Amino acid sequence: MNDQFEQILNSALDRVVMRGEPVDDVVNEFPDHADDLRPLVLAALKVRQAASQQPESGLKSRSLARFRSAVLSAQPRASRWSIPRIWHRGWVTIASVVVVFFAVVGTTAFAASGSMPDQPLYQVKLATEQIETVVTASPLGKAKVEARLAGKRIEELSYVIDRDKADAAEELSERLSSHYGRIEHLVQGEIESVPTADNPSNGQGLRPKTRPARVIRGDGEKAKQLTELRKLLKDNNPRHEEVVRNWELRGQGAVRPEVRRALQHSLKGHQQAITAVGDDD
Amino acid sequence: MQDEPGLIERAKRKEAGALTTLYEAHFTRIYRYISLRVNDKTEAEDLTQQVFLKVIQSIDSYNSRGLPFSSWLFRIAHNQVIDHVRRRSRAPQSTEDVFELDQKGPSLEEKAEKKLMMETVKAGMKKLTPLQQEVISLRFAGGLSIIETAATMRKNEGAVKALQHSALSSLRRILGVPPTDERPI
Repeated sequence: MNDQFEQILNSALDRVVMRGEPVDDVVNEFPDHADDLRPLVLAALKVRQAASQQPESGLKSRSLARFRSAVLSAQPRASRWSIPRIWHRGWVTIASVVVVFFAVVGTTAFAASGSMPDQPLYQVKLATEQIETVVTASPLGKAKVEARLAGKRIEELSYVIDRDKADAAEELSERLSSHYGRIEHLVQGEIESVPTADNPSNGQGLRPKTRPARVIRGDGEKAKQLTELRKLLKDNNPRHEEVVRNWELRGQGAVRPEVRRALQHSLKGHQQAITAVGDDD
Repeated sequence: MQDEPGLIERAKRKEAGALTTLYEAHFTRIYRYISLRVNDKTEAEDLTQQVFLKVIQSIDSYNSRGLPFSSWLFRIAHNQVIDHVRRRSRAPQSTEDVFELDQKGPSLEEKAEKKLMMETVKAGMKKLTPLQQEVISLRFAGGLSIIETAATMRKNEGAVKALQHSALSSLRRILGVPPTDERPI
């Protein structure tokens, strides 16, 4: 008897709570059990309703940027760059890096360094930047490279906005968010949040919750790099804000809300990276 | 989800597109499940992110012949919640429920009503046994089927149905749901 009722209850819950059928329609199909069934289904509906809140509008995209950054970090280099395994070993790696470095720096890279997204050498510029991040060894060094690249993305963003290229603006905003996501990720291993009364966390969370972070590990060199990183991020910030304002002033926000969201998201990422890096003591 | 096994194989190779698709497909359900189990919105957000970081780290160990992917994912979420509750029980904590109302959406009155109901339900949930809480959270916040719930909890379907019944009976009493209330909520 109990098994039979549990079967009926489960079927009613699937139909009402999961598929949204009206309570009465479902419960009345089981007249012998309707009085017992109805309050249980209503209690389940209350739980469903209490749990039905949507994540805060920015949370999912913010969190997705960090997730993508973590995915990038987790990717084995071989698959990311499609370089044969032997190239990762000893002198082969060093020789190839030197050759690539001179080849790129000596010729194409120089020509590509100032190119903009609608120009033919832009992909070469991006590839050169990737090499720069790969050959930089320390996390804070990589974070500084990312911050410099973010500065370049802001210049490019300004360029494409001046030419009303909405798709390019959206793509660049996402690239910019990725730079900031990676900066946050890279500095996490080097700094730690200061525990406070309202934030007893030991800093293991993905997001610095409230207070500025400070260096607790490392030496003077790390502190110096962190100061330089702060400066890079802060120097870029007014320019970034100006670019976003410029987009608004051009009245494009109403036409392409997704670009507006991407721009705002990149700006938020910038501010979060500044928060993650923390203030000078 | 289309071709989930193929997607998971690609995710195991750490392909960004596959991992992002899995993330987007499951994010809201995991967030809702965790939100029902913890008091603080910031903590719910952090724990949700940590679940997906854990997915990146350990998807290699997922074996589709063992249990459905959603069940594997919710087990990670369950473990994160349990670890979190243990940590919280050792640290000084606020008893205040700090889920804030969203800035956009329904009117202030509706939001206040919803918040009150959310707090009432969460307070009621805390009076259930841990297993009852788990079955209710997985079924009605996580949206898992009875089969997926059983796989997540490593129990058979009959036991989960019985737990679901006893949990809803207790919750109905705690929340004071009248048997004759015919209005859908």
